[in-house]
Amino acid sequence: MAVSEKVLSARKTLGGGEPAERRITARLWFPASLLLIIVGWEVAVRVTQVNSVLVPTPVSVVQALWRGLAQTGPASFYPHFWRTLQEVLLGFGGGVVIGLLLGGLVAISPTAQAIIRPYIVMIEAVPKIAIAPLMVVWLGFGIESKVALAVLVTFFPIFVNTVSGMRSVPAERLELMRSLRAGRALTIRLVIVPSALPFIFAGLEIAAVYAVIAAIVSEFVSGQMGLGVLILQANFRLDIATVFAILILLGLMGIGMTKLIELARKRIVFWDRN
Amino acid sequence: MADLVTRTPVVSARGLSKVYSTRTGTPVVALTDVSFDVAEGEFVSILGPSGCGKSTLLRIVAGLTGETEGTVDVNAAGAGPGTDVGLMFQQAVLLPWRTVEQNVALPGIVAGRRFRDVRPRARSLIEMVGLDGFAEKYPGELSGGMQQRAALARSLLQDPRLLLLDEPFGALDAMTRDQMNLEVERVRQQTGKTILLVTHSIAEAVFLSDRIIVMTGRPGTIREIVDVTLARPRELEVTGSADFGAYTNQIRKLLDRPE
Ligand SMILES: Nc1ncnc2c1ncn2[C@@H]1O[C@H](COP(=O)(O)OP(=O)(O)OP(=O)(O)O)[C@@H](O)[C@H]1O
Ligand SMILES: [Mg+2]
Repeated sequence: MAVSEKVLSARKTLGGGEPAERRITARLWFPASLLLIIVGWEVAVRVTQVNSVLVPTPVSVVQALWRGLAQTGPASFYPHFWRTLQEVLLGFGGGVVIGLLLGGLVAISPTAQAIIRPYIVMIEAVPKIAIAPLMVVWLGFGIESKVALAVLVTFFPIFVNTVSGMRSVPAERLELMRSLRAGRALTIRLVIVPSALPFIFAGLEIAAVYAVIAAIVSEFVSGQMGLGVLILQANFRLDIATVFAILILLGLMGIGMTKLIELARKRIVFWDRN
Repeated sequence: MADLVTRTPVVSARGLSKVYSTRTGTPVVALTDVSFDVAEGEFVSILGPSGCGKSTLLRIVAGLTGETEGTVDVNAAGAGPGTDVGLMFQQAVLLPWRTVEQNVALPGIVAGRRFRDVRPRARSLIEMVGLDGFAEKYPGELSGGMQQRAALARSLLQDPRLLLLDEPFGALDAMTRDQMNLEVERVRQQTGKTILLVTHSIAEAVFLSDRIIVMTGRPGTIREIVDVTLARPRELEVTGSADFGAYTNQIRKLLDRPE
Protein backbone atom coordinates (compact mmCIF):
# COMPACT_ATOMS: atom_id res chain seq x y z
CA MET A 1 0.00 0.00 0.00
CA ALA A 2 2.70 2.42 1.09
CA VAL A 3 4.77 1.50 -1.94
CA SER A 4 2.01 2.09 -4.43
CA GLU A 5 1.22 5.40 -2.81
CA LYS A 6 4.80 6.44 -3.24
CA VAL A 7 4.72 5.44 -6.88
CA LEU A 8 1.56 7.41 -7.35
CA SER A 9 2.95 10.57 -5.83
CA ALA A 10 6.16 10.17 -7.80
CA ARG A 11 4.15 9.99 -10.98
CA LYS A 12 2.26 13.07 -9.95
CA THR A 13 5.38 15.19 -9.66
CA LEU A 14 6.75 13.80 -12.90
CA GLY A 15 3.57 14.62 -14.81
CA GLY A 16 3.48 18.16 -13.47
CA GLY A 17 0.41 17.70 -11.30
CA GLU A 18 -3.27 17.43 -12.17
CA PRO A 19 -4.36 18.41 -15.69
CA ALA A 20 -6.21 21.49 -14.42
CA GLU A 21 -3.19 22.64 -12.49
CA ARG A 22 -1.02 22.09 -15.50
CA ARG A 23 -3.33 24.15 -17.67
CA ILE A 24 -3.11 27.08 -15.29
CA THR A 25 0.68 26.87 -15.22
CA ALA A 26 0.70 26.77 -19.02
CA ARG A 27 -1.46 29.87 -19.11
CA LEU A 28 0.94 31.70 -16.81
CA TRP A 29 3.98 31.06 -18.99
CA PHE A 30 3.08 33.63 -21.60
CA PRO A 31 2.35 36.64 -19.32
CA ALA A 32 5.40 35.77 -17.25
CA SER A 33 7.72 35.67 -20.25
CA LEU A 34 6.15 38.83 -21.67
CA LEU A 35 6.75 40.69 -18.43
CA LEU A 36 10.32 39.49 -18.45
CA ILE A 37 10.87 40.69 -22.00
CA ILE A 38 9.35 44.10 -21.25
CA VAL A 39 11.40 44.60 -18.13
CA GLY A 40 14.53 43.34 -19.91
CA TRP A 41 13.85 45.71 -22.79
CA GLU A 42 13.38 48.72 -20.49
CA VAL A 43 16.55 47.92 -18.59
CA ALA A 44 18.57 47.22 -21.73
CA VAL A 45 17.62 50.54 -23.32
CA ARG A 46 18.44 52.45 -20.14
CA VAL A 47 21.71 50.68 -19.37
CA THR A 48 23.19 50.48 -22.87
CA GLN A 49 23.47 53.92 -24.39
CA VAL A 50 21.43 53.23 -27.54
CA ASN A 51 19.59 56.23 -28.83
CA SER A 52 16.29 56.09 -26.95
CA VAL A 53 14.61 57.99 -29.79
CA LEU A 54 15.30 55.14 -32.22
CA VAL A 55 14.57 52.41 -29.69
CA PRO A 56 11.88 53.60 -27.33
CA THR A 57 11.48 52.08 -23.90
CA PRO A 58 8.26 50.26 -23.05
CA VAL A 59 7.37 53.06 -20.68
CA SER A 60 7.57 55.67 -23.43
CA VAL A 61 5.51 53.46 -25.74
CA VAL A 62 2.79 53.27 -23.12
CA GLN A 63 3.02 57.03 -22.67
CA ALA A 64 2.64 57.54 -26.45
CA LEU A 65 -0.33 55.20 -26.48
CA TRP A 66 -1.91 57.07 -23.61
CA ARG A 67 -1.28 60.42 -25.29
CA GLY A 68 -2.89 59.26 -28.51
CA LEU A 69 -5.91 57.84 -26.78
CA ALA A 70 -6.45 60.64 -24.28
CA GLN A 71 -6.09 63.38 -26.84
CA THR A 72 -8.84 64.95 -28.90
CA GLY A 73 -8.15 66.74 -32.14
CA PRO A 74 -6.09 65.73 -35.19
CA ALA A 75 -3.39 63.87 -33.26
CA SER A 76 -5.92 61.65 -31.47
CA PHE A 77 -5.82 58.00 -32.48
CA TYR A 78 -9.60 57.55 -32.57
CA PRO A 79 -10.58 58.99 -35.97
CA HIS A 80 -7.66 57.18 -37.58
CA PHE A 81 -8.41 53.94 -35.82
CA TRP A 82 -12.03 54.22 -36.86
CA ARG A 83 -11.07 54.94 -40.47
CA THR A 84 -8.76 51.95 -40.72
CA LEU A 85 -11.32 49.72 -39.04
CA GLN A 86 -13.91 50.84 -41.56
CA GLU A 87 -11.60 50.02 -44.47
CA VAL A 88 -10.82 46.65 -42.97
CA LEU A 89 -14.43 45.71 -42.22
CA LEU A 90 -15.85 46.94 -45.52
CA GLY A 91 -13.05 45.26 -47.46
CA PHE A 92 -13.40 42.07 -45.48
CA GLY A 93 -17.18 42.04 -45.85
CA GLY A 94 -17.01 42.68 -49.58
CA GLY A 95 -14.29 40.09 -50.11
CA VAL A 96 -16.24 37.51 -48.13
CA VAL A 97 -19.47 38.07 -50.06
CA ILE A 98 -17.78 37.99 -53.46
CA GLY A 99 -15.54 35.07 -52.47
CA LEU A 100 -18.47 33.00 -51.24
CA LEU A 101 -20.62 33.76 -54.27
CA LEU A 102 -17.93 33.15 -56.90
CA GLY A 103 -16.53 30.17 -54.99
CA GLY A 104 -19.96 28.61 -54.68
CA LEU A 105 -20.64 29.21 -58.35
CA VAL A 106 -17.34 27.72 -59.49
CA ALA A 107 -17.80 24.72 -57.17
CA ILE A 108 -21.26 23.79 -58.44
CA SER A 109 -21.15 24.79 -62.09
CA PRO A 110 -18.60 23.34 -64.51
CA THR A 111 -19.39 26.15 -66.95
CA ALA A 112 -18.68 28.84 -64.36
CA GLN A 113 -15.56 26.94 -63.45
CA ALA A 114 -14.38 26.86 -67.06
CA ILE A 115 -14.98 30.59 -67.49
CA ILE A 116 -13.89 32.01 -64.14
CA ARG A 117 -11.02 29.72 -63.13
CA PRO A 118 -8.42 30.99 -65.65
CA TYR A 119 -9.02 34.61 -64.62
CA ILE A 120 -8.69 33.70 -60.99
CA VAL A 121 -5.41 31.94 -61.68
CA MET A 122 -4.17 34.97 -63.60
CA ILE A 123 -5.08 37.45 -60.88
CA GLU A 124 -3.76 35.05 -58.28
CA ALA A 125 -0.31 35.22 -59.86
CA VAL A 126 -0.11 38.99 -59.36
CA PRO A 127 0.86 40.20 -55.89
CA LYS A 128 -2.31 42.17 -55.06
CA ILE A 129 -0.46 44.67 -52.95
CA ALA A 130 1.29 45.87 -56.11
CA ILE A 131 -2.09 47.03 -57.43
CA ALA A 132 -2.45 49.59 -54.64
CA PRO A 133 -1.14 52.59 -56.68
CA LEU A 134 -3.43 51.62 -59.55
CA MET A 135 -6.40 51.65 -57.18
CA VAL A 136 -5.55 55.24 -56.29
CA VAL A 137 -5.52 56.25 -59.95
CA TRP A 138 -8.87 54.61 -60.52
CA LEU A 139 -10.66 55.31 -57.27
CA GLY A 140 -8.94 58.34 -55.77
CA PHE A 141 -7.31 59.13 -52.47
CA GLY A 142 -10.42 58.47 -50.41
CA ILE A 143 -11.61 55.37 -48.64
CA GLU A 144 -12.74 53.65 -51.86
CA SER A 145 -9.27 52.72 -53.08
CA LYS A 146 -8.42 51.17 -49.69
CA VAL A 147 -11.62 49.19 -49.46
CA ALA A 148 -11.17 47.99 -53.04
CA LEU A 149 -7.70 46.64 -52.34
CA ALA A 150 -8.89 44.97 -49.14
CA VAL A 151 -11.75 43.34 -51.08
CA LEU A 152 -9.34 42.08 -53.72
CA VAL A 153 -6.94 40.67 -51.14
CA THR A 154 -9.53 39.03 -48.83
CA PHE A 155 -11.48 37.59 -51.71
CA PHE A 156 -8.83 35.01 -52.56
CA PRO A 157 -8.60 32.91 -49.41
CA ILE A 158 -12.40 32.86 -49.18
CA PHE A 159 -12.81 31.89 -52.80
CA VAL A 160 -10.17 29.18 -52.74
CA ASN A 161 -11.41 27.67 -49.48
CA THR A 162 -15.03 27.75 -50.55
CA VAL A 163 -14.21 25.90 -53.75
CA SER A 164 -12.02 23.28 -52.12
CA GLY A 165 -14.44 22.88 -49.21
CA MET A 166 -17.38 22.24 -51.48
CA ARG A 167 -15.29 19.97 -53.67
CA SER A 168 -13.91 17.79 -50.91
CA VAL A 169 -17.17 16.60 -49.41
CA PRO A 170 -16.69 12.98 -48.29
CA ALA A 171 -17.97 10.74 -51.10
CA GLU A 172 -20.13 8.68 -48.71
CA ARG A 173 -22.20 11.73 -47.84
CA LEU A 174 -22.93 12.41 -51.49
CA GLU A 175 -23.70 8.75 -52.04
CA LEU A 176 -26.13 8.83 -49.11
CA MET A 177 -27.99 11.73 -50.68
CA ARG A 178 -28.00 9.96 -54.03
CA SER A 179 -29.44 6.83 -52.43
CA LEU A 180 -32.23 8.99 -50.99
CA ARG A 181 -32.83 10.37 -54.49
CA ALA A 182 -32.11 13.88 -53.29
CA GLY A 183 -31.97 16.59 -55.95
CA ARG A 184 -28.95 18.78 -56.58
CA ALA A 185 -30.25 21.84 -54.74
CA LEU A 186 -31.15 19.85 -51.67
CA THR A 187 -27.79 18.06 -51.67
CA ILE A 188 -26.02 21.40 -51.85
CA ARG A 189 -28.07 22.83 -49.00
CA LEU A 190 -28.11 19.82 -46.71
CA VAL A 191 -24.64 18.36 -47.31
CA ILE A 192 -22.25 20.31 -49.51
CA VAL A 193 -22.49 23.73 -47.85
CA PRO A 194 -22.31 22.45 -44.25
CA SER A 195 -19.39 20.18 -45.20
CA ALA A 196 -17.55 23.19 -46.61
CA LEU A 197 -17.99 25.36 -43.51
CA PRO A 198 -14.78 24.31 -41.71
CA PHE A 199 -12.81 25.25 -44.85
CA ILE A 200 -14.66 28.54 -45.17
CA PHE A 201 -13.90 29.48 -41.58
CA ALA A 202 -10.22 28.74 -42.14
CA GLY A 203 -10.45 31.10 -45.12
CA LEU A 204 -12.13 33.78 -42.99
CA GLU A 205 -9.30 33.72 -40.48
CA ILE A 206 -6.69 34.22 -43.17
CA ALA A 207 -8.81 36.89 -44.87
CA ALA A 208 -9.11 38.93 -41.65
CA VAL A 209 -5.33 39.18 -41.39
CA TYR A 210 -5.03 40.05 -45.09
CA ALA A 211 -7.64 42.78 -44.78
CA VAL A 212 -5.60 44.63 -42.16
CA ILE A 213 -2.45 44.33 -44.27
CA ALA A 214 -4.24 45.65 -47.36
CA ALA A 215 -5.73 48.63 -45.51
CA ILE A 216 -2.38 49.67 -44.02
CA VAL A 217 -0.45 49.27 -47.26
CA SER A 218 -2.93 51.32 -49.25
CA GLU A 219 -2.83 54.00 -46.57
CA PHE A 220 0.95 54.01 -46.94
CA VAL A 221 0.52 54.50 -50.67
CA SER A 222 -2.09 57.22 -50.70
CA GLY A 223 -3.73 57.72 -47.35
CA GLN A 224 -5.05 60.93 -45.92
CA MET A 225 -6.31 59.25 -42.78
CA GLY A 226 -5.92 56.02 -40.90
CA LEU A 227 -3.42 54.27 -38.67
CA GLY A 228 -1.14 53.63 -41.65
CA VAL A 229 -0.92 57.37 -42.23
CA LEU A 230 -0.24 57.97 -38.54
CA ILE A 231 2.59 55.45 -38.66
CA LEU A 232 4.17 57.24 -41.63
CA GLN A 233 3.82 60.66 -39.97
CA ALA A 234 5.25 59.45 -36.67
CA ASN A 235 8.07 57.76 -38.55
CA PHE A 236 8.99 61.02 -40.30
CA ARG A 237 9.01 62.81 -36.95
CA LEU A 238 11.20 59.98 -35.60
CA ASP A 239 8.51 59.52 -32.97
CA ILE A 240 9.21 55.81 -32.78
CA ALA A 241 7.34 55.39 -29.51
CA THR A 242 4.14 56.44 -31.30
CA VAL A 243 4.91 54.01 -34.14
CA PHE A 244 5.07 51.22 -31.59
CA ALA A 245 1.87 52.41 -29.94
CA ILE A 246 0.02 52.25 -33.25
CA LEU A 247 1.48 48.82 -34.01
CA ILE A 248 -0.04 47.68 -30.73
CA LEU A 249 -3.42 49.07 -31.79
CA LEU A 250 -3.19 47.27 -35.15
CA GLY A 251 -2.30 44.06 -33.38
CA LEU A 252 -5.35 44.44 -31.16
CA MET A 253 -7.52 45.03 -34.21
CA GLY A 254 -6.24 41.83 -35.80
CA ILE A 255 -6.65 39.84 -32.61
CA GLY A 256 -10.18 41.20 -32.14
CA MET A 257 -11.25 40.08 -35.59
CA THR A 258 -9.63 36.69 -35.30
CA LYS A 259 -11.28 36.15 -31.92
CA LEU A 260 -14.71 37.07 -33.26
CA ILE A 261 -14.31 34.67 -36.17
CA GLU A 262 -13.10 31.96 -33.83
CA LEU A 263 -16.12 32.52 -31.61
CA ALA A 264 -18.46 32.24 -34.59
CA ARG A 265 -16.63 29.12 -35.75
CA LYS A 266 -17.02 27.43 -32.39
CA ARG A 267 -20.74 28.15 -32.44
CA ILE A 268 -21.45 27.28 -36.06
CA VAL A 269 -18.99 24.48 -36.79
CA PHE A 270 -19.18 23.04 -33.27
CA TRP A 271 -19.25 19.53 -34.74
CA ASP A 272 -15.87 19.86 -36.47
CA ARG A 273 -13.09 18.28 -34.47
CA ASN A 274 -10.28 19.30 -36.81
CA MET B 1 -42.67 -21.36 -49.74
CA ALA B 2 -45.11 -22.18 -52.56
CA ASP B 3 -46.95 -18.88 -52.33
CA LEU B 4 -43.66 -16.98 -52.27
CA VAL B 5 -42.81 -18.31 -55.70
CA THR B 6 -46.08 -17.18 -57.25
CA ARG B 7 -45.72 -13.58 -56.04
CA THR B 8 -43.71 -11.05 -58.02
CA PRO B 9 -40.23 -10.98 -56.56
CA VAL B 10 -39.09 -7.73 -54.94
CA VAL B 11 -35.71 -8.01 -56.63
CA SER B 12 -35.20 -9.84 -59.88
CA ALA B 13 -31.72 -9.90 -61.39
CA ARG B 14 -31.02 -11.53 -64.75
CA GLY B 15 -27.57 -12.02 -66.26
CA LEU B 16 -26.03 -9.05 -64.47
CA SER B 17 -22.47 -8.17 -65.44
CA LYS B 18 -20.37 -5.22 -64.50
CA VAL B 19 -17.14 -4.04 -66.05
CA TYR B 20 -15.41 -1.02 -64.56
CA SER B 21 -13.21 1.01 -66.86
CA THR B 22 -10.17 2.18 -64.95
CA ARG B 23 -7.67 4.98 -65.29
CA THR B 24 -4.89 2.63 -66.33
CA GLY B 25 -7.01 1.40 -69.24
CA THR B 26 -7.35 -2.26 -68.29
CA PRO B 27 -11.03 -2.79 -67.51
CA VAL B 28 -11.96 -4.62 -64.30
CA VAL B 29 -14.60 -7.31 -64.60
CA ALA B 30 -16.36 -7.14 -61.26
CA LEU B 31 -19.41 -9.34 -61.94
CA THR B 32 -20.35 -11.85 -64.58
CA ASP B 33 -23.75 -13.32 -65.28
CA VAL B 34 -25.47 -13.04 -61.94
CA SER B 35 -29.13 -14.04 -61.73
CA PHE B 36 -31.30 -14.36 -58.64
CA ASP B 37 -34.65 -13.38 -57.18
CA VAL B 38 -35.54 -12.08 -53.75
CA ALA B 39 -39.13 -12.75 -52.76
CA GLU B 40 -41.21 -10.48 -50.60
CA GLY B 41 -40.37 -10.82 -46.92
CA GLU B 42 -37.32 -12.92 -47.67
CA PHE B 43 -33.91 -12.42 -46.07
CA VAL B 44 -31.10 -13.08 -48.55
CA SER B 45 -27.40 -12.75 -47.81
CA ILE B 46 -24.54 -12.44 -50.26
CA LEU B 47 -21.28 -14.08 -49.16
CA GLY B 48 -18.03 -14.19 -51.06
CA PRO B 49 -14.33 -13.41 -51.01
CA SER B 50 -13.18 -9.81 -50.87
CA GLY B 51 -13.34 -8.03 -54.20
CA CYS B 52 -15.79 -10.47 -55.81
CA GLY B 53 -18.28 -7.73 -56.56
CA LYS B 54 -20.72 -7.95 -53.64
CA SER B 55 -20.86 -4.20 -53.08
CA THR B 56 -21.09 -3.68 -56.83
CA LEU B 57 -24.08 -6.02 -56.95
CA LEU B 58 -25.81 -4.19 -54.12
CA ARG B 59 -25.07 -0.80 -55.64
CA ILE B 60 -26.59 -1.93 -58.93
CA VAL B 61 -29.73 -3.07 -57.11
CA ALA B 62 -29.82 0.28 -55.26
CA GLY B 63 -29.51 2.15 -58.54
CA LEU B 64 -26.27 3.83 -57.49
CA THR B 65 -24.30 2.24 -60.37
CA GLY B 66 -25.40 1.07 -63.77
CA GLU B 67 -25.00 -2.53 -64.91
CA THR B 68 -22.91 -3.32 -67.99
CA GLU B 69 -25.13 -6.18 -69.08
CA GLY B 70 -28.31 -7.79 -67.89
CA THR B 71 -31.32 -6.40 -66.14
CA VAL B 72 -32.40 -5.82 -62.58
CA ASP B 73 -36.00 -5.17 -61.61
CA VAL B 74 -36.66 -3.73 -58.21
CA ASN B 75 -40.33 -3.96 -57.54
CA ALA B 76 -40.54 -2.18 -54.23
CA ALA B 77 -42.44 0.95 -55.15
CA GLY B 78 -43.51 2.77 -52.02
CA ALA B 79 -45.50 5.93 -51.52
CA GLY B 80 -43.15 8.19 -53.47
CA PRO B 81 -39.62 8.70 -54.74
CA GLY B 82 -36.93 7.64 -52.36
CA THR B 83 -39.28 5.64 -50.24
CA ASP B 84 -38.81 2.27 -51.92
CA VAL B 85 -35.37 1.19 -50.74
CA GLY B 86 -33.57 1.65 -47.45
CA LEU B 87 -29.78 1.56 -47.61
CA MET B 88 -27.10 0.97 -45.04
CA PHE B 89 -23.36 0.99 -45.60
CA GLN B 90 -20.36 -0.21 -43.66
CA GLN B 91 -19.98 3.30 -42.26
CA ALA B 92 -22.95 4.96 -40.60
CA VAL B 93 -22.48 8.17 -42.65
CA LEU B 94 -24.37 10.42 -40.24
CA LEU B 95 -24.19 14.15 -40.87
CA PRO B 96 -22.22 15.49 -37.87
CA TRP B 97 -24.10 18.81 -37.73
CA ARG B 98 -27.48 17.13 -37.37
CA THR B 99 -28.71 15.56 -34.16
CA VAL B 100 -29.52 11.85 -34.12
CA GLU B 101 -33.23 12.51 -34.68
CA GLN B 102 -32.48 14.98 -37.46
CA ASN B 103 -30.27 12.36 -39.11
CA VAL B 104 -32.90 9.67 -38.75
CA ALA B 105 -35.45 12.09 -40.23
CA LEU B 106 -33.25 12.88 -43.25
CA PRO B 107 -34.99 10.55 -45.76
CA GLY B 108 -38.28 12.24 -44.86
CA ILE B 109 -36.81 15.72 -45.28
CA VAL B 110 -35.39 14.74 -48.67
CA ALA B 111 -38.84 13.43 -49.65
CA GLY B 112 -40.18 16.92 -48.96
CA ARG B 113 -41.73 16.43 -45.53
CA ARG B 114 -41.33 18.82 -42.62
CA PHE B 115 -39.12 17.86 -39.72
CA ARG B 116 -41.90 18.29 -37.19
CA ASP B 117 -44.09 15.87 -39.18
CA VAL B 118 -41.36 13.23 -39.45
CA ARG B 119 -40.14 13.66 -35.91
CA PRO B 120 -42.58 11.33 -34.10
CA ARG B 121 -41.70 8.47 -36.43
CA ALA B 122 -37.98 9.23 -36.11
CA ARG B 123 -38.36 9.17 -32.33
CA SER B 124 -40.13 5.82 -32.27
CA LEU B 125 -37.50 4.27 -34.57
CA ILE B 126 -34.75 5.66 -32.35
CA GLU B 127 -36.41 3.91 -29.45
CA MET B 128 -36.82 0.74 -31.45
CA VAL B 129 -33.10 0.49 -32.17
CA GLY B 130 -32.34 1.12 -28.50
CA LEU B 131 -31.10 4.70 -28.64
CA ASP B 132 -33.63 6.16 -26.20
CA GLY B 133 -32.30 9.37 -24.70
CA PHE B 134 -29.88 10.02 -27.56
CA ALA B 135 -32.31 11.64 -30.00
CA GLU B 136 -30.93 15.11 -29.39
CA LYS B 137 -27.27 14.15 -29.20
CA TYR B 138 -24.87 14.72 -32.07
CA PRO B 139 -23.20 11.79 -33.88
CA GLY B 140 -19.81 12.81 -32.48
CA GLU B 141 -21.11 11.90 -29.02
CA LEU B 142 -22.05 8.34 -30.08
CA SER B 143 -19.99 5.14 -30.21
CA GLY B 144 -19.57 3.29 -33.50
CA GLY B 145 -22.27 0.77 -32.62
CA MET B 146 -24.70 3.51 -31.62
CA GLN B 147 -24.04 5.33 -34.88
CA GLN B 148 -24.88 2.16 -36.82
CA ARG B 149 -28.11 1.86 -34.82
CA ALA B 150 -28.98 5.41 -35.87
CA ALA B 151 -28.19 4.51 -39.49
CA LEU B 152 -30.47 1.48 -39.20
CA ALA B 153 -33.26 3.69 -37.89
CA ARG B 154 -32.66 6.13 -40.74
CA SER B 155 -32.89 3.36 -43.33
CA LEU B 156 -36.27 2.37 -41.90
CA LEU B 157 -37.77 5.87 -41.72
CA GLN B 158 -39.65 5.84 -45.01
CA ASP B 159 -40.85 2.29 -44.32
CA PRO B 160 -39.16 0.85 -47.42
CA ARG B 161 -40.20 -2.59 -48.60
CA LEU B 162 -36.60 -3.46 -49.39
CA LEU B 163 -33.56 -3.00 -47.16
CA LEU B 164 -30.10 -3.19 -48.73
CA LEU B 165 -27.32 -3.66 -46.17
CA ASP B 166 -23.65 -3.61 -47.25
CA GLU B 167 -21.56 -5.07 -44.42
CA PRO B 168 -23.35 -2.77 -42.01
CA PHE B 169 -21.64 -4.22 -38.95
CA GLY B 170 -18.23 -4.96 -40.43
CA ALA B 171 -16.60 -2.17 -38.44
CA LEU B 172 -18.04 -3.25 -35.10
CA ASP B 173 -16.56 -5.50 -32.43
CA ALA B 174 -17.87 -9.06 -32.18
CA MET B 175 -20.14 -8.42 -29.20
CA THR B 176 -21.82 -5.33 -30.60
CA ARG B 177 -22.12 -7.17 -33.88
CA ASP B 178 -24.09 -10.02 -32.28
CA GLN B 179 -26.38 -7.46 -30.69
CA MET B 180 -26.91 -5.70 -33.99
CA ASN B 181 -27.70 -9.01 -35.69
CA LEU B 182 -30.37 -9.64 -33.08
CA GLU B 183 -31.62 -6.13 -33.73
CA VAL B 184 -31.91 -6.82 -37.46
CA GLU B 185 -33.64 -10.13 -36.78
CA ARG B 186 -36.08 -8.29 -34.51
CA VAL B 187 -36.71 -5.60 -37.15
CA ARG B 188 -37.38 -8.34 -39.70
CA GLN B 189 -39.85 -10.03 -37.38
CA GLN B 190 -41.65 -6.82 -36.52
CA THR B 191 -41.78 -5.33 -39.99
CA GLY B 192 -41.63 -8.28 -42.38
CA LYS B 193 -39.19 -6.39 -44.60
CA THR B 194 -37.40 -7.88 -47.56
CA ILE B 195 -33.70 -7.70 -46.81
CA LEU B 196 -30.60 -8.17 -48.95
CA LEU B 197 -27.42 -8.27 -46.86
CA VAL B 198 -23.79 -8.33 -47.92
CA THR B 199 -21.52 -9.80 -45.29
CA HIS B 200 -18.13 -11.40 -44.70
CA SER B 201 -19.37 -13.40 -41.75
CA ILE B 202 -20.64 -16.91 -42.44
CA ALA B 203 -22.25 -17.13 -39.00
CA GLU B 204 -24.03 -13.81 -39.50
CA ALA B 205 -25.36 -14.97 -42.87
CA VAL B 206 -26.61 -18.32 -41.53
CA PHE B 207 -28.17 -16.73 -38.47
CA LEU B 208 -30.12 -14.12 -40.41
CA SER B 209 -30.91 -15.58 -43.83
CA ASP B 210 -33.55 -17.60 -45.59
CA ARG B 211 -31.16 -18.01 -48.47
CA ILE B 212 -27.45 -17.38 -48.93
CA ILE B 213 -25.93 -16.50 -52.26
CA VAL B 214 -22.35 -17.81 -52.20
CA MET B 215 -20.11 -16.15 -54.78
CA THR B 216 -16.80 -17.09 -56.38
CA GLY B 217 -13.74 -14.85 -56.48
CA ARG B 218 -13.25 -12.20 -59.13
CA PRO B 219 -14.86 -11.97 -61.59
CA GLY B 220 -17.70 -12.69 -59.21
CA THR B 221 -20.45 -15.02 -60.17
CA ILE B 222 -22.87 -17.18 -58.21
CA ARG B 223 -21.24 -20.36 -56.89
CA GLU B 224 -24.33 -21.71 -55.21
CA ILE B 225 -27.47 -20.59 -53.44
CA VAL B 226 -28.00 -22.25 -50.05
CA ASP B 227 -31.44 -22.44 -48.44
CA VAL B 228 -31.33 -22.02 -44.67
CA THR B 229 -34.32 -23.72 -43.10
CA LEU B 230 -33.54 -23.10 -39.42
CA ALA B 231 -36.76 -22.37 -37.54
CA ARG B 232 -37.75 -18.76 -36.96
CA PRO B 233 -37.77 -16.67 -34.86
CA ARG B 234 -34.11 -17.30 -34.15
CA GLU B 235 -32.27 -16.53 -30.93
CA LEU B 236 -28.52 -16.50 -30.40
CA GLU B 237 -28.71 -20.05 -28.94
CA VAL B 238 -29.32 -21.41 -32.42
CA THR B 239 -25.69 -20.65 -33.28
CA GLY B 240 -24.68 -23.55 -31.02
CA SER B 241 -26.92 -26.12 -32.68
CA ALA B 242 -25.77 -28.97 -34.91
CA ASP B 243 -27.84 -27.74 -37.87
CA PHE B 244 -26.22 -24.32 -37.62
CA GLY B 245 -22.79 -25.96 -37.60
CA ALA B 246 -23.69 -28.02 -40.65
CA TYR B 247 -24.69 -24.88 -42.59
CA THR B 248 -21.53 -23.00 -41.68
CA ASN B 249 -19.42 -26.00 -42.69
CA GLN B 250 -21.19 -26.38 -45.99
CA ILE B 251 -20.70 -22.71 -46.81
CA ARG B 252 -17.09 -22.64 -45.66
CA LYS B 253 -16.38 -25.53 -48.03
CA LEU B 254 -18.09 -23.70 -50.88
CA LEU B 255 -15.97 -20.64 -50.22
CA ASP B 256 -12.71 -22.59 -49.77
CA ARG B 257 -12.94 -24.79 -52.84
CA PRO B 258 -11.72 -22.71 -55.79
CA GLU B 259 -14.03 -24.73 -58.10
N1 LIG C 1 -15.64 2.51 -59.02
C1 LIG C 1 -14.83 1.49 -59.37
N2 LIG C 1 -13.96 1.65 -60.39
C2 LIG C 1 -13.15 0.63 -60.76
N3 LIG C 1 -13.14 -0.58 -60.19
C3 LIG C 1 -13.97 -0.80 -59.17
C4 LIG C 1 -14.87 0.23 -58.70
N4 LIG C 1 -15.58 -0.27 -57.66
C5 LIG C 1 -15.16 -1.55 -57.51
N5 LIG C 1 -14.20 -1.87 -58.41
C6 LIG C 1 -13.54 -3.16 -58.55
O1 LIG C 1 -14.53 -4.13 -58.71
C7 LIG C 1 -14.23 -5.28 -57.95
C8 LIG C 1 -15.39 -5.61 -57.02
O2 LIG C 1 -15.51 -4.57 -56.06
P1 LIG C 1 -16.59 -4.63 -54.89
O3 LIG C 1 -16.40 -3.44 -54.07
O4 LIG C 1 -17.93 -4.85 -55.49
O5 LIG C 1 -16.13 -5.94 -54.11
P2 LIG C 1 -16.67 -6.52 -52.74
O6 LIG C 1 -17.06 -7.93 -53.01
O7 LIG C 1 -17.69 -5.64 -52.15
O8 LIG C 1 -15.37 -6.52 -51.86
P3 LIG C 1 -15.26 -6.37 -50.28
O9 LIG C 1 -15.75 -7.67 -49.72
O10 LIG C 1 -13.79 -6.21 -50.04
O11 LIG C 1 -16.08 -5.19 -49.87
C9 LIG C 1 -12.94 -5.00 -57.20
O12 LIG C 1 -11.90 -5.62 -57.91
C10 LIG C 1 -12.79 -3.51 -57.27
O13 LIG C 1 -11.45 -3.18 -57.38
MG1 LIG D 1 -17.82 -4.36 -50.41
